[in-house]
Parts: sequence; structure tokens; C-alpha cells
Amino acid sequence: MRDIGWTALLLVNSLALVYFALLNSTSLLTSLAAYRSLRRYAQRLKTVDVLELLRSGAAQSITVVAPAYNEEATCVEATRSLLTLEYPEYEILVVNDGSKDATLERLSEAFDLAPAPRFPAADIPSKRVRGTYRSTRYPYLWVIDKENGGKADAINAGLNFVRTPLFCTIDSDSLLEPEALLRVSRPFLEDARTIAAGGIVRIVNGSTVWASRVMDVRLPRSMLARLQVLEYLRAFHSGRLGWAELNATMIISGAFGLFKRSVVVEAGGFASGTVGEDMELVVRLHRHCHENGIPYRIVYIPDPVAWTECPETVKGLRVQRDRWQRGLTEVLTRNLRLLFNPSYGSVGFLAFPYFFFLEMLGPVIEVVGYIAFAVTIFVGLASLSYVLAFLMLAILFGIALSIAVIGLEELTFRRYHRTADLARLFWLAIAENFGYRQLNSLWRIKGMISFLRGRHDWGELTRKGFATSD
Amino acid sequence: MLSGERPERELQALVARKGSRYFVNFLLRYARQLRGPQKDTVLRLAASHLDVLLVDLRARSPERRAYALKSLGALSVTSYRDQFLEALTDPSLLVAMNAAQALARNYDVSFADRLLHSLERFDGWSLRYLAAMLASMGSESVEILRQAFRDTRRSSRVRAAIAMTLTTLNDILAVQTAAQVLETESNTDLIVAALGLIDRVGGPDQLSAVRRLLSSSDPAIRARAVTALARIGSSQDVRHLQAALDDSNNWVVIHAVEGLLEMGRKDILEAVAGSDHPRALAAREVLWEGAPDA
Repeated sequence: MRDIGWTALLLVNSLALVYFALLNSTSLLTSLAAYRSLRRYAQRLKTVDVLELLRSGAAQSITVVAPAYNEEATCVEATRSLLTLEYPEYEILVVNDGSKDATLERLSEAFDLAPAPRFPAADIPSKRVRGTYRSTRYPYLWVIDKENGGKADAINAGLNFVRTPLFCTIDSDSLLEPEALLRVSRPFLEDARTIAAGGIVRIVNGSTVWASRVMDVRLPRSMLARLQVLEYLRAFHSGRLGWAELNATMIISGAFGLFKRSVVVEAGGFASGTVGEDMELVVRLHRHCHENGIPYRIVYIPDPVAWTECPETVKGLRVQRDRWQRGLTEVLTRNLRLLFNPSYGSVGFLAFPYFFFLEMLGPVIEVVGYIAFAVTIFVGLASLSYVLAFLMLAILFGIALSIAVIGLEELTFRRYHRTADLARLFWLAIAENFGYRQLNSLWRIKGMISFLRGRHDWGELTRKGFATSD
Repeated sequence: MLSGERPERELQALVARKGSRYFVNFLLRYARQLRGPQKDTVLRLAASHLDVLLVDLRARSPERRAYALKSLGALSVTSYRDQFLEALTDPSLLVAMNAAQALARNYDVSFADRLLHSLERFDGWSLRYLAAMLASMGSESVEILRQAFRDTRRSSRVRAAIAMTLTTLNDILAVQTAAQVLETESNTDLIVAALGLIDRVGGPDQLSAVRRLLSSSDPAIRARAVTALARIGSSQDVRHLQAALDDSNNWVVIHAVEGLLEMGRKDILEAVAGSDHPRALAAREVLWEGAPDA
């Protein structure tokens, strides 16, 4: 019996070792790919004259679809930011997803909305649309009022009214930088096979917003929010850019993505009843194009920026991570046929297994690994110094990768100008390994349990609104 | 200096040979924003420093080559025309596109063939992008573009981009080729672009070809045909547009209601809008667009 227990312990330890080794090697690979890609992209940017693009008439028209649910605190500011975008031809559809608060009233007062008939161009199923409104001040601003059906349902309702070749999804509490649409739409000009493109999402907490624009970029005051800044930088600069370089983008954030309307409609729109609708759509687009022999490209562009508010309380962050993990688990388990399936190219063979084993199951392996290490030391199967040495190695590797990402950010876009902010980011790269990372793993395990229990709601979200300066 | 108060040589004298690259980058910012005599001053100032960019044209990095071309394109195409023409065959599409754009903006019939020939390389680029680039060649290029549009050896997408350019340039003489395209081609992009051209400058001679496409199995073609018909059609075509209101594709319906408004048939739209017709909302929308206060 004791032998079986020891063997099991050794197995778990080995699994944890393999997990850490794989996780760090993959991160290293994607970081290297991201480094190459970022350098090239930064050089490539110099060959593009944004003003020239604006004037040339080459840009394809875009509809921005912004779903809003109980967003009375931020919806006006966020919509104003959309009105100031620099793009030759675009339309804005704010979809009020049956908000219980005064979202519709706020929008109506701020933009002088009037009822206006609008005929849908597509028939993707969605909850009933109660009314369509158009701003009398800004003719390209529409508000679709519908019954509550969740974010995916709201985007689908909006998508039905889209009449442009491209549409952009953003969260209604996100702020897009003025040139964001121009930059994110460029891949569609250069390669007609492009069906989707994502941009970077940055955290707005702590920065100063003036006239719906982020003017002074600073790190948030809250420690929890600062840790998320680092996480976002790592996720976007290393993760998404790296996977895009391998032509295996699996996620385009719901906070900011540009899609080819016709392909998304053909694929059936966003999947309602899921909390990971952004990833679900991208995975389904991969499947749709592979299965129908459609040549396609899904890309990530590192400089068009959407700013978003992140949770600053432990409860808020726990709810968010729970939701993200549920979404991830749901999407991956729905699309298991991609796992190690070479007919889906690098997505099936590289990205999907990575997300399945290292992102979805990772937190479980990690937490079980910590416990197993403790038991191993306790029963005297391994020395404390040996286990600590291993853990330190894994942590140091993680820190090195985080520092590399901060370095990439500095070398390219340099949003955080203050030396103090940079120093804080470097410090956070170390600090996050002691408590924050483990807490995150626990929340993600809870998310998996919630998924297994069949929970599908979004959880309560509270918005503070953007810190504006006069 | 730009206002002519100080002589150009004063600034030239300040620029060391080693500083040429920096100086060129500095001038580029002005070259893109200025027009007229002020721009000419900037171009003159840059002229003796541009050779530094020729080194970059041989760089390994395609982005560096592209940037060098972009800079040369903004500061002087005519003096470096050979380099631009050579860059059309650069292995990097980014470099080739930068060359093509610069040449298109400085169009000359002497290199028109080579420029148009290079278009096949950009087959995968967005049609609007290609059309915008070609349109920058200006109206002097119409004759050669028309010939290229007729040339069935060219790829369908390139011909579609050329058709879109000819539409922008309002080339009435290309209409015959557009009508032939409707009769003989099957590529959606090309047919839609040809319909766009007919819509802009066509007439009754193309009506029968357009009408035939109303029964196309491709909704994108049906929708564009409906719009073209509304522009060039006669009163007897109203029934075709009315029939399109029952099309299973909503895009075709949207084009049909817009077409009926274009033909001045508000009466039909009002009747549909006031009825329980499944397309009543489309009719109401287009009427509302015409008179939102009504």
C-alpha cells in the first residue's frame, strides 16, 4: 500500500515537473516568436502612412458593435470615444442587452436618440429586438434595444444589422485609441484571406482619461490591478503575438476584435449561452474555414489599443477568473476534435493542445503539484533543498520571461514612461509568483468546478467608470 | 527657410555627410505635409542626401528596403525611377507594393506596362486597396487601364480592381467590356465590379445583360444587379425590383428598396411599408432615410 502511495506521489511530482517544463518552454518559444514578430512589426509600421491610408479610399467600411449590459456608469464615455475614432467610413451600433439600469436612458439623453426603422441584413437567431434608435446628432450612431440574452446574443443581434464588410466588437466599457481601427484593419487590406484580427487590450485603471482619450498612461494604484497590467502585457505581447506568428491564434479578445462579416455570418455568429464567446468564435472560425476549404488568416496586431477597466477587488477578480476559466473549459471541451488533429494545422497540433493541457488543466496540475511537493518533503522522499531548488528554477524562469516581455514593451511601444512605473513592473514580475499566481490557480480550479456544475452566468460585474480629468 | 527668408544652402551647410540619414528622416515629415513651393524647397534640400537610401534598398530586411522606397517615393521618384521599377520584382510584396504605389502616384506611360504587369503579384490584396492605388495614376492612365480590363489573360481579381478604378475615373468607354464580362465571366468579384462600372456610366445598351443577372445564384451578384438596374433601367424594370423584394436574401431586399426609391417609386414603398409584407420594415427604413421627420 505504501509503495502504491509513493509511486503515485512520484507520478504526480513528475507530472508537475513536466507541466512546468512544458509551460515554460512554450512560453519561451512564443516569446521568441513574439520578439521576432514585434521587431518586424515595429519596422513595418514605418512603411505605413496612416494619413495616406485615410485619404486613399482603400479602407473598407466598418461597423463597431458594442454590447452593453448595465453600463450606465461608462456607456456614454465609451460611446463618445467611439465617435472620435479616426476612420473614413464607420458606423456604431450600441446594443443594449436588456439592461436593468438606466443604460438606454443615459445613451438617449447624451446622444438625442430617436426611434428609427432598420432592416436586418442577416438572420442569426437572437432575443427579440425591442427597438432601433438613431442619434439625431450623430447619424452614424445607432442603438439597438433588445431583451436580455447575454453578450454573445447581443453581438449577434447587432451583427444582424451590420451592413459593412467588416465589423468590430468591443466591450462597451472599453476605450479605443483614435487610430485603432485604421491599424487593426490593415491586415484586411494586405491579405484578402484575413477573416479576423485582434489588437492589444491594456488596462486603463490609474491612467488619466480626458475627452474619452487616455492621455496619461500610469500604473494603477491598486496592487491587484498592477499585477493584472503585467499579466495583460504577458498575455498579449508574448502569448497572442507568439501564437499569431505560428498562425495559430485561438483568442481574439471580446474587448477588441475586427471580423469579416460574411464569414462570421456563414459560421452562424457568436455562440449564445457561453461565457467564452470570443474564444469560441475564433475556434469555430478555424474549424469552419478548415472544414470548408476556405483559405484564411486570423491575425493579431500589437499596436491598435483598446483600454479596459480591470477589477480592483479580490472578489471582482475572482469572479472574472472564474468566468474566464469556465469559458476556456467550455470552448475546449466543445471542440475536442481539434486536439492533436493534423487536419486543423498548427491550431490542432500546437495551440489547441497547449490551451487544453497547460491553460485548462494547468491550474489543477499546479496546485496538486504544490501539495505533492509538500507531501514529498514531509515523507522524506525528497529533500527540502531539492524541491526548493526546482521551484526556484521554475519561478526564476517565469520571472525572466516576464522581464523579457516588459523589455519588449519598452523597446517597441513604451507606454509606461515613468521610471518608477517601470521599476514597479519589474518588481511585480517577481512578486506575482508569491501568492498571486497560486491564488489565481485556485480561482481557476473553482472556475472548472463551476463549469462542471453547469454554471453559465457572467457573475456580478461592477464598473467604477473612467477616471477623467477636467 | 520655407518662407524664403533664409537661403537653403545655410541649412545644407549645417548637415554633415554622416547626418544625411537623420536629415532625410527629418525632411520626410515635412514632405508629407507640405504642398506647392514649400514642398519643392524640401525636395531640393533632400536631393543631395538621398543616395544614403540607396544603400538601404539592398538591405536584407524587407522592412528596411520598403522604408527606403517609401522615403524615396515621398522625396523623389523621377530621379530613382529605375530603382522603383526594379523593386516591383522584389521578393517581398511589401517592398513591391511600396514601389508600385510610388510609381502609380508618379504615373508615366513609359512604365505603365511594367506597373500593370506587377499587379498580378498583388492578387491577394484587398480590391479596394488595389483600386485606390490604380486610381492615383489619374485620368491619363484610362486608356491603358481599359486595355488591361479587356485582357482576359489577367487574373479575375486584378481585372476587378481595374474595373473599380475605371468606375472611379468614370470611364464611359469601358462599359462595353463590362457588359462582356457579365456575359462571359463567372468570378463574383469581377462581375460585381463590372456591374458597378455599368451602374456608374452604363445605359440602356447593357440592360439585358444586367437583367439576366437578377436570377444569378449568387446573392452578391443579384444585389448589385438590382442596384445597377435601378440606375440604368426604365419604368418596365420596376417590376423586377418589386420581385426582388421577395428575394430570400436580405441584402438583395435592401438593394431593391433603395432601388425603388432611386427610381422615384415611393408609392410602391409606401404601400409595402403600410402593409404586413415581410419586407415592410425595409421599406419603412428607406422611406425614413429619405424623410426622417415624416
